[in-house]
Amino acid sequence: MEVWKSADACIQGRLHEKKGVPCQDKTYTLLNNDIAVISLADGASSCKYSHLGAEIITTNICNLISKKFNMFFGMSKNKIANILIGVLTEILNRKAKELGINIKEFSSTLLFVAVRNNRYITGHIGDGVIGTLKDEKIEVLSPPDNGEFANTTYFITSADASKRFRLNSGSNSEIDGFILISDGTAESLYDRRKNELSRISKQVLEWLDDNPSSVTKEALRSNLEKSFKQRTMDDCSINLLKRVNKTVEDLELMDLALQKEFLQSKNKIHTENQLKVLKVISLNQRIQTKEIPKQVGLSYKTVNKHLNDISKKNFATLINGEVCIRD
Amino acid sequence: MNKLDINEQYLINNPSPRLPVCLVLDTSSSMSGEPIDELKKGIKLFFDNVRADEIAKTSAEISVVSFASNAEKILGFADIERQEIPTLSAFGYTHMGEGVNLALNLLEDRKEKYKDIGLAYYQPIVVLMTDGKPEDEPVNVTEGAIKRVCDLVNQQKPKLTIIPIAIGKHADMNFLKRFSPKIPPLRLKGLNFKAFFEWLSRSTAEVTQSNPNIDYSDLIDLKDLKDITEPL
Repeated sequence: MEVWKSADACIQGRLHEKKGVPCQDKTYTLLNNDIAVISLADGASSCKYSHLGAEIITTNICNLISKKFNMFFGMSKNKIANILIGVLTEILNRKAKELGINIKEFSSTLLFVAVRNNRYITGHIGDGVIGTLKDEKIEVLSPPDNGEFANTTYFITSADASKRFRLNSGSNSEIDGFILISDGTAESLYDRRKNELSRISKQVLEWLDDNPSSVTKEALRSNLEKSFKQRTMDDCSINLLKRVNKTVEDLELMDLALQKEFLQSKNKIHTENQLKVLKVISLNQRIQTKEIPKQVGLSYKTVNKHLNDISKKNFATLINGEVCIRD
Repeated sequence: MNKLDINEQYLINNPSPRLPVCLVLDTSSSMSGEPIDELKKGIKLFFDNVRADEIAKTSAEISVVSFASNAEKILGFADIERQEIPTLSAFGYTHMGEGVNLALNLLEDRKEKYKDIGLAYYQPIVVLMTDGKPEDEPVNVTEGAIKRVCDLVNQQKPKLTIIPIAIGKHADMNFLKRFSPKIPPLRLKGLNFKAFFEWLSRSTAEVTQSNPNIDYSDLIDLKDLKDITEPL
């Protein structure tokens, strides 16, 4: 059984602390049964409202991609870039008009990953890095785009944004994780000369295997503050998306918080009942759905609700009154 | 160590991006005496300040070109901790174009070196200081240097920042302006080189601390020079 889990963190850098400027790095995550989208943006230092710009584009890109994933997956990269830049620009223009400012004040980079049914789409404009965890190895999927100079890059509001927007898509059956980092974080995690990510990128992704997202999130924040912040003056941010695979036996050994998170349960009773149903299904290659209530000691109605939930999450397949676990 | 702590030994140590700064200095005969002495003191102050800044000293690289009857590289780009502050003497004509051309060549070579070894770098800075105008120099050399600078500065994403400084009342501002299409030339008040180089070392430090995503021209804040330069 697999789910996609996420954790993210942003911290204000030393330069912005000194100058009283808010953190201009933003992250956003959208997870449901069907689709997982993570995003990260780094606002331009010289633009007063870039923290707001970063916030607007991270939330809107997740919403947009999640609604139109199938449409985008089948499209050419040029067309996707034009549509995304067009929509985000329109949203930023409306906000700029409301505030009486120039859209350039919202200038920000943007990185995102969306996964659905073993397919993925990634997008990247500006600096920062997108990495993947594939066959136990961490690789760079999309490196920084700085142009010639270290202190220049490209933004969603740049004149040539569509041309500089790098898109990737494909099957993600072999990719078990994605990592997005801003350039502040890249100072410590990305080797510019070798175009490689540090092994720590794999380590933090794997934290999600055995820790709740909330705990991983706090660990990311704490490590950014303690270690990464001292190695750059810049804001630092990171967003992780990890495929977590567990058997029913694995689930039974996990603590309640992790079980709840994996099963996306509302409460302890819900978690326990769903585990009972999963256990019965896993002990049989195939089982008639009408036989489950007696075996788990729950009503037919309750078992049916759980079966529908389990099926929606792709943990099991329901066909013709029979159910079997998906490994 | 908590199991959710990262081991810092696995963090990457990226070398600092480099900021190449080339001082292009008039050492013609008219600079002899107090002007050249004050200029030397100012340069020493610049080096001392950059060396004292934790971030700037690992990032800024300084080269010095002098121009009189010839242009000469009197200090090449290198680790600032290992450089010796050059001596200057004033004698000869004013081959300004030759000096600027030499500076641009040194910057191009340095950038190629950075690219070869995978070092990131900031937009280079040229500081051009003169108390006169080109003298005894073939016109095509002067004009060629002007065109070269303008081509670099006037691009949509400029390849160079040039800061033109006029020394004394005989410096030809109109000529200096031709070398600097974006930043208007500033005439130093008296021989206030020390204050100018204080400002330059602060600006250099600001650049080396800058985030990518910052507008370069915002860092070089010429308003701070208003107390040490004469109004146009």
